[in-house]
Amino acid sequence: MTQNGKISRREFLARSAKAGISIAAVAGAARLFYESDVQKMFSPPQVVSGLKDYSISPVTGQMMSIVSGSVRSQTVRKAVELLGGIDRFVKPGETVLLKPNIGFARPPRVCATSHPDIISEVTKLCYKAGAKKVFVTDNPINDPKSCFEISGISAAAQKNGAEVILPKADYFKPLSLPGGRLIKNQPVLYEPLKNIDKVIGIAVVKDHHRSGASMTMKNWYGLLGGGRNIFHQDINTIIVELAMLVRPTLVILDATQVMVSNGPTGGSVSDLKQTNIMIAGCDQVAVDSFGATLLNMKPADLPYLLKAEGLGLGTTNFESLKPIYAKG
Amino acid sequence: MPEIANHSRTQTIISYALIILLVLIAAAVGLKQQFYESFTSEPPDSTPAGNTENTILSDNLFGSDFTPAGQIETYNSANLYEKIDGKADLYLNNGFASLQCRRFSGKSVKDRWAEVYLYDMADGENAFAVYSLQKRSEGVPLDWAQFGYSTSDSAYAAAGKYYIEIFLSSEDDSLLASAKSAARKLVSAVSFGKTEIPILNLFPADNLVNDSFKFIRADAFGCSDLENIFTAEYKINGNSITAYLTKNRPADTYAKYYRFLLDNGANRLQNNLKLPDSGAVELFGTNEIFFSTNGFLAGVRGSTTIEDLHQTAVKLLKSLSEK
Repeated sequence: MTQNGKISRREFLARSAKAGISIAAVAGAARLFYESDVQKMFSPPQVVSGLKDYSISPVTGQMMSIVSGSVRSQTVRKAVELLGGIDRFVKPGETVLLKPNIGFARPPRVCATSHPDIISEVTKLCYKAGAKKVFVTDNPINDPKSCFEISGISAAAQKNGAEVILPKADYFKPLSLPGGRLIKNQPVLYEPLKNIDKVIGIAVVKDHHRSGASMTMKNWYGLLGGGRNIFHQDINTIIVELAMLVRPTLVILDATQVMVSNGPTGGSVSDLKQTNIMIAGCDQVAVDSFGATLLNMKPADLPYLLKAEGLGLGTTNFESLKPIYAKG
Repeated sequence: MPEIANHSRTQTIISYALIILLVLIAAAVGLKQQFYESFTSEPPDSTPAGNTENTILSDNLFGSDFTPAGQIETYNSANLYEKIDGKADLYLNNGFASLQCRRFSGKSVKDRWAEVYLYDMADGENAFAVYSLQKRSEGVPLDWAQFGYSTSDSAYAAAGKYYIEIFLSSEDDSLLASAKSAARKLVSAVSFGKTEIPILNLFPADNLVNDSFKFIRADAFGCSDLENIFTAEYKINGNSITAYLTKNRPADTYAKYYRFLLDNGANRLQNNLKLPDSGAVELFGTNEIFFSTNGFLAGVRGSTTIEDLHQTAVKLLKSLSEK
């Protein structure tokens, strides 16, 4: 520094050099820390690839049963018995997941949800076969707790020793279906399925404004998380992909009372038709093809059935399976 | 010199302050990034905040024996599916604006409840569309309502731009009476006088089935060219006949619909309407006469004789010609 307060050339150069080095250091550090793809800064979530196959070996002549009667506990018991009994599906020590349709907070009498009497009866049957534990889960449209309670399914499950699994955020894992177009890195209610031995789908026959009908294949929609309404634009494909994803041990389709109009929510008994039929089967495409007839539809009226058949997921010609008809 | 020393101290303080500020900014950025919202996160809350405190659902619509259970839920077109899933399209395709719903529970018996859905459909025609498309055949008309009915466990009404549904926990006469009363309060609160849908007056009154009007926004009778169709039911000689009409359609709608029918296997029938753009067909056991006049496309259809259909078609044509 000079006497008159001005800095010397040497000092000016030294300060400039220091400032330059500082700026270069900051810029270098910024470049070092810069990440153009912010998602790389986080460990990518582990994406599950498909689900295990829960199905059992097919037995000719015991693929599908159709039981008539108005008492659900009796008809479902009979329907399972006709397929060879619950012992064919559940072995001692196994864990079983029941997947009912509990989409809405509606009482059982309006049949917008699976009926609690079926949950009770199937739970009892599983334990009778020596199941280690029976679980019940679904990811409802409405508030889960209300849906499980108002549908009567919580009470039915708990009364018979089944554990209700309400969906929680950390139960969902990103999952991709091998060969799938829509189920890619999609949140799926995976935790309840992860270590389970057998899966039984329990659905109800309903008119569905978007897909035409909601039955056993559409019931797997309740395993999806996230903003799943985006799939409504391609409803037939998502139903088929869900049927590819979930190869159940058994499906049960309740048509004791069919929601013939204003589905899938319904809300009034005036939307129902008493048909007194219970269907059980190992081929969900066949079971749904029969269910369609109860809504005065043919498989051709439901594109997802034809697509599923084309992919070898089952047959729409349910009669070819020689279903066993009986009274409950 | 002292002056220079003071300058240096000031500079040092400012420099340290700037460094501390930069460190704080860096820490804030780092902290913010720790809570970065992943793209795979769960969906947003299904009940976004809305201005619901001053709505009619804030009132206890069911009287002193009931109490509102929980908050008023509000839904918009982006999240309607979170309440009614696959049925959302029905509303979205008919001008849906918003939905409010609320449950009211019995004070003494909590299992005794009613759930009210108040759909804002933007205008009366839209509200009428969703009302008519879901109308339960077993419904008993609410005699005080322009458009309203009840079943054993629910009540429905269209009033002004609103469509109202009330679902009950059980088939209970006194609960249903409360629901009807609540529906009446709602209707009077959200609408003013009669909902005007002038086109309904064009349907001939003779043999018209009471409260049988419907409004189909798109794809009427499976034909993508038939939009905004109003229908009415008639009973003639014990047979049901559906009359339909739409206005302000493109000029070629008649020709397109005729082609649609023929492409789907319809057989031409003798047509006695003395009108250039008119035709008669038989398709899978259903006879139909249809015509274009005075800016309207209209017709009658049913599993009855062509003579019965002709009778209604002539009256409908007369009504439209006078307008």
